[in-house]
Order: sequence, then C-alpha cells, then structure tokens
Amino acid sequence: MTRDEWALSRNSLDQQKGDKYGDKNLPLVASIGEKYVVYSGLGELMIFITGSCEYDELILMDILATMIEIVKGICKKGVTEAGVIEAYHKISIHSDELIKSGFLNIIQNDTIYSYAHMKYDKTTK
Amino acid sequence: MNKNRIGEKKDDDDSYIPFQGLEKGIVLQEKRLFSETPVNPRKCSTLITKLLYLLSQGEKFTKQEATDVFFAVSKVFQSKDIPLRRMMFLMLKELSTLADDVIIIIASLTKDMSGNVPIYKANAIRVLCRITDSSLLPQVERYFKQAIVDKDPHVASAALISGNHLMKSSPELVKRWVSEVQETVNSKSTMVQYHGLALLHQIKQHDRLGVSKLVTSLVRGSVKSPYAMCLLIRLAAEVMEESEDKIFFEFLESCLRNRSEMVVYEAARAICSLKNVSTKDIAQAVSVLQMFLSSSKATLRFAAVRTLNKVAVTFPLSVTTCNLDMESLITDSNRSIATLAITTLLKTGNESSVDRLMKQITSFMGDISDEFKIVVVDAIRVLTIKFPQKHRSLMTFLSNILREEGGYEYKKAIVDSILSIVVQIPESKEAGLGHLCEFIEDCEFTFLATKILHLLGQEGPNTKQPSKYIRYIYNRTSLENAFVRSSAVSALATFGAKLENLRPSIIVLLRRCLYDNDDEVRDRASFYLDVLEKRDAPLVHRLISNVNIDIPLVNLEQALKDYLRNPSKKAFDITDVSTEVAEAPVVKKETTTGAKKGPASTTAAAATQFATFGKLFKSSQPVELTESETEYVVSCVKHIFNDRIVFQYTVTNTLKEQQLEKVMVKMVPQSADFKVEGAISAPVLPFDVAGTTYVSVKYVPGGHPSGTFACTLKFIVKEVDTSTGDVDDSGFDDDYQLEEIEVTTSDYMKKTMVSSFQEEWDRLGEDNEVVETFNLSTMKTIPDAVKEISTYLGMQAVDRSDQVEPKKTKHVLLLAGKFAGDVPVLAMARMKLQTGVVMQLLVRSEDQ
Repeated sequence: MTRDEWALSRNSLDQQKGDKYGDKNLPLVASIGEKYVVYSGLGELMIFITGSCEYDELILMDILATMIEIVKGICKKGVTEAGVIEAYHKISIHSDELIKSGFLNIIQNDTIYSYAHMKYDKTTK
Repeated sequence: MNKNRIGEKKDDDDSYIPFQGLEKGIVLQEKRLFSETPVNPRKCSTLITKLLYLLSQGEKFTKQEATDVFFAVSKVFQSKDIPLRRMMFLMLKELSTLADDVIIIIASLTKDMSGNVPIYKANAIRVLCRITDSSLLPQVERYFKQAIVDKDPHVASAALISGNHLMKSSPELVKRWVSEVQETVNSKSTMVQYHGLALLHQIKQHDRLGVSKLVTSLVRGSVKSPYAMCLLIRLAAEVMEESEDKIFFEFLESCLRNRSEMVVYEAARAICSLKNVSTKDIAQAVSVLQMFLSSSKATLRFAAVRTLNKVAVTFPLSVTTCNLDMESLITDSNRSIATLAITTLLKTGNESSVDRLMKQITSFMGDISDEFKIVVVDAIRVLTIKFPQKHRSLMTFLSNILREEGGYEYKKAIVDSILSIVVQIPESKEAGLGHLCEFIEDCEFTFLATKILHLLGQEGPNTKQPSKYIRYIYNRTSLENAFVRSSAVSALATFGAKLENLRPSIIVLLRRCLYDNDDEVRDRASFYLDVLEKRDAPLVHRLISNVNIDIPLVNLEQALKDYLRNPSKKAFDITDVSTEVAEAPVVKKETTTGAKKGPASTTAAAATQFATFGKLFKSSQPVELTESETEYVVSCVKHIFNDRIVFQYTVTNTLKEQQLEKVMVKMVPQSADFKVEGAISAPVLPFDVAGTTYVSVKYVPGGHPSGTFACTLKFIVKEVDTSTGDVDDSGFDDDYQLEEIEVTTSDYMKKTMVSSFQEEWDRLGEDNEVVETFNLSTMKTIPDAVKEISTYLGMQAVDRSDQVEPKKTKHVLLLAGKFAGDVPVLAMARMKLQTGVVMQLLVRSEDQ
C-alpha cells in the first residue's frame, strides 16, 4: 500500500467526500505478489481482507462488504475503537460464521446473523 | 489489580478502551467460573471474550495453560445457554491447536452431532475437524459422511469445509466420501454447492479424466451459485489445456453474459489466459473488460486493468481499443489501478501517442511510491526499444526522473534502463552518456557511480567528442569515496590507452592521483602510468584498452586462492587457469542413496590404468541408470579421452541380506564404431556401501561417434546372515538389467567462455561455416528451445543470449565451446516461433 492510499483510507474526511464516482465508501485494492488485499476504513476501524488463488479481489470485495455490514450492525452507535473491542465477542462469532479457517462459509448477512445467534436460518427452512 | 471494565458503566472519558491493561495471569485465575454449578452464562461469556482477545493480541499461552483452559471451557457443554454454547465452540476451536489431550471432548462432540439441533451439529463438526488426526478419523468418519448429506445447509457446509481441511492430513479417507460429496453439487443452497464443488475438485485433482467428466457434466447449467461458477470456470480453463472440445469454450463465452459481475470477469480472465486463443476469440473478453474499466467499483477496475495488462503483452493490438478508458484511469485515486493503467498504455501505445503519454506520466510519477515507479521505468525501457525513433524524448524523461528524489532500487532501475537503451540503440549513446555524466556529479550510490564510470571508460573514447567526458571522470577522483575514485582512475586510463592524442593530458591527471590517500587508488594510478609511459602499443592494448579474460571468474578466483595458500617461487601464470565453465564436481560426488563409500583400491587401480590414456578432456554429469528405490542403485559418469571413453559406474547394494562380489557392468555397443576394451570390477560390495567399477571403450581417434550401449550389471551374490553379519562362502552368479546409456555429441563438447563472440565469429569466417535448418516441432516456446539446444549441444550460452523473455517469437542464441581435441567451436542458432520452433543453426570451427 502506498502512503497515499493509507492516508486516504484513514482520512474520514476524504471518505465523506467520496471519489469521482460518488462512492462514499472507498474500498481500495492492491496486490502483493500473488496475494490480493481489499481494504477500507470504517469509522475508527480499518478492515483488511486478503486472499490468494480463487479468492481474488472480486470475491474479497463481497467478503469485505459483508464484514462492513456485520460491524455496522453490531456497533449501532458508531464504529469506534472502544465500541469494537466492547463488542469483540459478537464480531468474533459473526466473522467465524463468515469465514471458516480460510474458506468463505456464508456470505448473506441475515444468514450469518441467524447462525451467530444459534437460530435456524429462516430463508432455508 | 483487575482493570477490565466490561459490564461496568462506561466512562464519559473518550480515551476509555475496554481490556486496556488486561493481564493473562489474572484472566486465567478466573477459569474457576467454568466449574461453578450452575455456570453463570454472563460471566463465562465475558471470560471467554477476554481469553479470545488475549489470543488475538498475540499473547502466548503455554501448553499447560492452554490445556487447563481447554478443559475448563469444555465444562460449558452442560450449559443450555445458547450464546454461551456458541462462544464455547469458538474457544475450543482456538485452543485445539495449543492444548494437549484435546480428544477427550470427543464424547461431548459426538453427542451434539448425533442430536437433533442442527446448530449444535454444525459447530461440533467444526471443532471435531480441528481436534481429529489421521488415526482418529476412521472412528468418526461416519459423522462427517452423514453431515455432508444433511438437509440443513449449515451442517452440510460445515462438513464439506472440514473435508477440505482433512484432505491435507487424510486424503485417502476423505476420497471415500466422493459419492456423498457428489450429491451436494446439485444442492439448492448456493454455498453448499460451492463447498461441494471445491471438495470434489480437491478429491479428483490428480485424476484428469475425472475432472474432465465432472466439468463436462456441470457446464450444461446445473450450477447456480456464482462462487461455484467461478470455480467451475477455472476448472474448465484447466481442462481446456488438454482437451480441444468446443463445449468448454462455449461455456466460457456463455459466462460472459452472466448476471454476476464476478462470473463475467472470471470468464473474461480465463479466456485471456488460454494458451492457443486467437485474436477473434479474445475480442469479446476484452470488450467486457473495457466495460469494467469505467465501473464505479474499484475492485472491478483493478481486476480489469490487471488482466488487460497481461493481455497487452501477447495481444497489444486487441487492447488498443481500451486506451481511451485507460487514460482516464491515470488519475484514479487508487494508485495500484493508476500504475497498471500507465504500464498497459506504455505497452499498447503507438508512436504518435508516446509524447502525449509521457506528459501525463510526468505529473503522475510524483504521486506514487518507488516500487510502482520501477514498474513504470521498466515499461518505458521496453517502449523505447519498441520505438527507437523516440529515444531522445524518452531518454530525457528518464534523466529527469533520475534527478528527482528516490531510493537505490529506483535509481538503479533507471540507470539500468538507460544502459540497456544505449546498448540496444547505438544512436542514443551520446545522449545517454551525457545524462549519466550529469547524474554521477551528484550520485549518492557508490555502486551506480562505479558502474557508470566503467561504462564511460568503455564507450566514451568511441564517441565523436570523447574529451568532454574527461572532466566528469576527473572530478570523481577528488570528490568521492575511495571506490569511486579507483573506478575513475581506471576510466581515465582507458581513455589514455585508446586515444593517443589525449594521452599526455591523461598522464598529467593520473600523476595527480599518485598523492591520493587510498592504497588502491595510488596502486592503480601508478600501474596505469607505468604502462602508458612505456608507449608500447601492444602492451597498452593488452593491459588497459582490451583486457580479454577468457576465463570464468570463478576459476580465476579459485586459482588465486590456491596460489596464495601454497605459494611457490614461480610467478602466478594466468594461462594455467582452466577455461572450462565449472559444472558440479563429479568424481567426488556422493551417491544418491547417501551410502558410504567403498574401498579406494578400485579407484587407485583405475587411476593407474587410465594414466596411459592421455589427458582427460571432460567428465560428464552422473546419469542414473536405475530408479532410486531399486535393489541395486547404479549411476554412471563418462570420462572422455582422446580416443577412449571410460565409464565409471557407482553401484550401491540396498539389500541387507546380500553381499555382492566381483561387480562389473557388461556393455554391448549398438554401434560398430565403439569397441569395449576392458573393465575393472569392484571386488566386494556389502550392504549400503557404494562401489565403483569401470569400463573402457575405444573409438577411432578423431571419429567421435555417437551411440547407445546396452548395460547389464553382473555380480556374484552371497547370502548374509543379518543377525550375525556372517557371509556365506558359496555364492551364485546373477545379473541385473540396467537402462541403456547413450554417448552423444554433447559428451565431446565442453563449455567455454569467449570475451567477444562477434570478433571470434568474424575471425573464423564463412569458409569454416556449416549451416542447417531444423524444425523443432515439440518446442512450444523460445525459452524452452533455448534451454534444450544449449543442453543438447553441450555448449555455453554467451553474451546473455540465454536470457529470453517468455513471449518472444524470435531470438538468436550464441554458443561457445571446445570440441574434443581442444578445438574451439562457435554456434549461432536463429530461432523463430511458428507452429513449433524453426531454427537455423550456423556452426563455425577451424576443424571441419
């Protein structure tokens, strides 16, 4: 990642302005060797998703989008460092449903929510 | 003091961070909470959260600590609180790799797996996968198999993903689940379909026919999941490497019209990566990628420009249609995308667009980091060589960025690019040297300065106004460190040697260097002064202006080290150093089985006998005549003499119950040009001891024939009592068939270096030339052909002609060697890639 991209991600002001496509959530992408990294800022948080082989930048983008929704859903009062650590157990369980030991498990946000709360998934019933 | 604050009221203070100052020791003391009856769900959940947090922060748990916590947490199986059970499963998974005796919870896990609650089942399967090893798996296999075909997709996915992990430790066992896994590919759940296909591919990956059948059955449209489709596209592309069935290509084309962008991109990427794709086939894929270039999603733009960058190497004309869209990406906020766009434009731009492109790049370069800049510099180098007419503007650009701030690797890349352009485009030499002279006026990198000074010394005297470079070089003798000053002295001396009219002035400058602080600088100055003042033209030519060392540096270094180690009264003579390019030492090489060496008597006898054969010309690399796991492991080295070949066989007996005696190899030549003269057998060969046997074969001097030999290992076998080590007195004759051994032209050739191939080539002349054309139909690429030809002829590639870019369609390979009898031979192979590789081979040598 370049210095500019790091600054761009951390600077919430730039995120609010958005880029020329009008996209306020500014996910960035880079490749390091054979590995792809998709990353974005969310409040005080920086989320990095990295993968290789079949997990290229497009699938990682889907995973990142789901991860952002998970964190937003859990940290309803705003994504701050304290809030994230306070909800650490919830985020851990939800992300455990999202990715299992390096494999993409479930991508639908509501399904992840159901299983994280040990409920049946109504969509598949 | 316990500083954690979860569950307490938050401070209004903004700097409040939960778990700040959390200490492992204090947290571990709380594990008694898990043993309470009944367990307090809230407190236990909080405790598990703290433990997980500590683990994620890199806190190290000892084995004992991890085991204690593991057992403590496992007591939560008795709790019916659902959130707590969920946390428990998570914690058990994290600790499973750290703790001992983890299999103790199998009973609890199997109870959950046999139960009616699918949520518990799925999580229990995941934990089971982590704690199971290959010895335990057969006992719990049925749970996985049942779970794979479970109606609940959560359970099925858990089992399938577990199967993927278990393939690493127990592949044979997981392969037995193939029929269950096959069913999941038709599941209604998109994720189960995806996981099932992934596991099925893992199971069948070594069975090409199986994979082909799997893909053929699925491309007809039963796959709905976009992730499974992406995987299927990759599998189809793999199968297409070997199959020419059109159904796979039609499938890829149909995927270009899929609803999911991911699938569309994957299909476009797969089509672009196919080996024998035509321009027409690739056009549709490129148009899809062109659409993605203007997408609002950064990942799509990145993916598209990344793929187009690769396509531009092989199909630059196909990508030119996207140039306008890519130009708009130069200002993209994502610098990775911008750099890829620039480099793609540099590959596909035409001569008229170069100037416009360079203006855009100039402003862009300041915004990116060094690693991206290096990529751009390399692309500019390729562009300059592609459009030699534009060398002036491109060289100016390179020199401008050379003056800007940057690290060593970046500056080195620019200097190397300029040097490469100067070598490949002679018209650019003066401009290039001028730019480099300005650079060394303020260069902080010693290596780069010395490299440029050396180049100035070589090329400067050959320019129209050589004297203008002397100022730059002389400045370096006073303003720089000792390494650079030494190089500057050498460069000055080269000017003095090559330009007689400037020699008096150079001598004056060199005299000033005699007062330098550094020994090396003074030594060089006095040496060069001495040579130049002698006015002996051949001496000056030999020692300064045309120093030809036709000796590999490795050999020279070794010879100098040996001389210093064992000094003699005789002066060091460079002509005594071997010119042969060093290969792996053969005579002292250990056997492949690592067996102990046998008695030296055989070797000594051989040495005595073969001393009469004259000077050894060459020894080949060892050739294996058996597999490494056979009863008798045999390898052979061929020693080439003037009119004989000595085959040295290294034989190892791998059977404990046998001892071999009078071991020899019977060789039967298939060609009448060879005559087997004699052999030396290995007297005794116990178990795991390598012995050596020799066979001498004669041929007509100067004939140098090729041919194969049928080889049979003959010996007397004596039984050995493995308990006592006693050997039977009586034995029986036996033999063992070996692979044939071949003697080819390359065996009579050894690799040598030449300092100037062109000079030697011109000296030999067309009168000593033989030309023939070959069609190498089995070679698919130029690099493969280069490698094969060098190996087949046994000659050394010179002037870096073995360095070939992968996609090149034309190349000239230059080879040098010495044939038996120390006859120098040069070869030039002109290659062109068509259906195979067409090669015109020119060979020059004084000996017909």
